[in-house]
Amino acid sequence: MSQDPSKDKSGRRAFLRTAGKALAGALGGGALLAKSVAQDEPVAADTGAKSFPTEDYDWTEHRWAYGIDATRCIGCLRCVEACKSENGVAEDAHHFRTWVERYVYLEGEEKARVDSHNDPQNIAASGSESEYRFDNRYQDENVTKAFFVPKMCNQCQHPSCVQVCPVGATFRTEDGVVLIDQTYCIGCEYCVQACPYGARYFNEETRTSDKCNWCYHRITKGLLPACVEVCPVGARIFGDRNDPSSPINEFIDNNRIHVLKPETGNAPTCFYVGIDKEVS
Amino acid sequence: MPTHIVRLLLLLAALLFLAVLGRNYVLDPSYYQFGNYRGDAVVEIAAGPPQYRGPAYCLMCHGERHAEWTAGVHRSVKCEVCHGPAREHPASGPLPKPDDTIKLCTVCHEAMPGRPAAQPQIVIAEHPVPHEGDLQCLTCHNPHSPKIGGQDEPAAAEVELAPAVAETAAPVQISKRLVVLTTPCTPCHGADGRNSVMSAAIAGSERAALVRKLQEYRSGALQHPVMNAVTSSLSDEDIADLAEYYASLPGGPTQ
Repeated sequence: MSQDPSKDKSGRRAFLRTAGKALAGALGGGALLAKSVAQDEPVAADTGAKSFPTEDYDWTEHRWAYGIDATRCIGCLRCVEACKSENGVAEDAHHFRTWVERYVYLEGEEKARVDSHNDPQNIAASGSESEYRFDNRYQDENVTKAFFVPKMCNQCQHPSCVQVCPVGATFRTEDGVVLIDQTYCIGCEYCVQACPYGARYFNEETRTSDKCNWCYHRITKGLLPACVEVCPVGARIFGDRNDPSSPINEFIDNNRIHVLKPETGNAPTCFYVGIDKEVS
Repeated sequence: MPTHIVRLLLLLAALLFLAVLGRNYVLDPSYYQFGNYRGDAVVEIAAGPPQYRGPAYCLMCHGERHAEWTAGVHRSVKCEVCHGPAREHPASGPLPKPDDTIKLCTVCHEAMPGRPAAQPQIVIAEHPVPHEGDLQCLTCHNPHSPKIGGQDEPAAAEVELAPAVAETAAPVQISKRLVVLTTPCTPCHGADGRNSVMSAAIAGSERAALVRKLQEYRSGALQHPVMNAVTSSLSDEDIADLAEYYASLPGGPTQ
């Protein structure tokens, strides 16, 4: 702190003069920069118009959708395993991009008994701490109805996770998939809370959110998502709504389809067949 | 306007300018390319290498297996379901052959409430006959074409195996060694050895003839895909015991 006010004043004037010059210089520089950005943009837009995001794949030509036929699912969990291998999901029984739930109605019971990946008996049945498989606990019970329900990200048309993201790290693509930008995600977990389907999990290793993206790296190469690829019974159906010959259109046209939690207004693009009201 | 206000405004303008400049500097150029997210993120995610390569990839080298698999009932179960993702195979080394087939096969075929009726399901301890200990599925089944009788005999393949086994399995009391020894025989020949629908009725045959046949199947002098596989691991003692057992059973076809 200076005790001499005049010296202080001259110092401030000097500072302001320098700052003024710097400001003028910066304004000029800024104008140049803005110009260069303006020149860059049409180029970027050009590549977008050609084909985006890859040379052979134009996302404006596709509208992906997913079908799940619970009447076919046998609960073998090959999809869960394939998803983990394909996407490098943590090898433990707590992080899943897709999982399968079992709904069982016992005689005389109104409510379904639900068990899935977080059930200790199912983890024990796999013989390993890092996976799960359905144990046969109902084999001697009087089961009136039972079925398996594969679950995953519903790739909503109005995704609540995207709405709450404070940094633009999650977004919906033109072809209808909700993606996560791992380099922009700050790991605040708002999206994990916001998802009405519990489809997102927090990856403690990368400190970012993670979830199913319908194997975006596969579908943009003309392949099926890994879970659809391995399903041995055709319980998972995937395709392009813009392609009339796609199996997903046949699935949607020939079945009475449901979406999970329609009341949320999220408008999922995963369509279910063979589930009942207890499934949400 | 008072000078201090002018200065303040200038300062505000400078701060605003710096903020805009800083934002341009910090923000990825692709950020507003399509919306308030980074366009390049889509390119990065789409560039990831696939791990599951699909049966067409396997076909490039494993033509024979592929043909066998597509002809059988397991054609909806793709190679990588059991062998794991191909990734960079063969450069990255061989893919695993599942060793515990009881554990693997029963993820789909263990009888369990909730599985659709059309799914073939077994009670492990009772398939194909009640037994103790582990009986690996590959003893009788070819995983690439698991239906006993094979794809070459479509008419026989339609025959419902389970009832024949179930009806006759219960009353027969035999030693544990014979249970294990006869396990591969029963799906085709029946627990009573009289099933002539799918194969030869062997019950009540001459002992010496049975021994000779089994030895010929084992050596390959007689060719039959299932019998050669089933007899390959039998010892002379096994053959003698099997022949003795089936020779002792009452003959005649199953009704």
